[in-house]
Amino acid sequence: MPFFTLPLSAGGPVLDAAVLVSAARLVALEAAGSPVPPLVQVRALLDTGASCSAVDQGILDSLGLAPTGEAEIVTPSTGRTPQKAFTYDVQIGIFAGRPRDLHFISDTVQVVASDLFVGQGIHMLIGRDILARCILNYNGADGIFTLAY
Amino acid sequence: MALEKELATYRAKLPEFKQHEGKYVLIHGDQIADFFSTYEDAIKAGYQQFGLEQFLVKKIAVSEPIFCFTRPILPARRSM
Repeated sequence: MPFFTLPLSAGGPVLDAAVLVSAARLVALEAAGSPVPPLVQVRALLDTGASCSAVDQGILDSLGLAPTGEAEIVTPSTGRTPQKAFTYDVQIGIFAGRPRDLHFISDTVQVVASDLFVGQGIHMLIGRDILARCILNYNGADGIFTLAY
Repeated sequence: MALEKELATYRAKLPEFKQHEGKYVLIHGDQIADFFSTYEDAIKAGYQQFGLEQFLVKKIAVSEPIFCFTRPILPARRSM
């Protein structure tokens, strides 16, 4: 498995990632002669406490996306009653510490839309749905984390 | 609201979907397009069949699965 190591930030295992239209949507856009939105660089947290991944609504809007699903979510803010959220299909990449070193880790993933940036200061939570395909090593003593995918 | 028709179709047809529990259904308006084993296959078929028009891909579950987050986030207000 390819892997890379990055320093831990004050917010934990935060890294630069890229959100793009999904591979299937890209094909549809090209077939329609529509412009393909460029990737959006985001700050993402590897979050083992998230059962699925989430992306800030503003990022999804900037990609010109419409929802293709719906899910129910429970968080400390929703309380016990699940709340409905739209989901979107996107493609995810991770920058392995260097500006142009983009690693695509999923060309079609379902993400929940949330107003993440206002409340959390990050644009994306990479949850266990994506981490299920990876090996994550959190080395707090040395202040680094390694992700193999 | 986005996906209103598709979600209504899903809820109305759910009792008929028992044999497809765990699969992903592709819905366009009130049309059930097909069933797929993976999310990726359903999304791909959605764009192939419907292009950039609205469609819904939903995992069939009699009991709706719930995604959990330990961070205090909320669904985007513009979503719903």
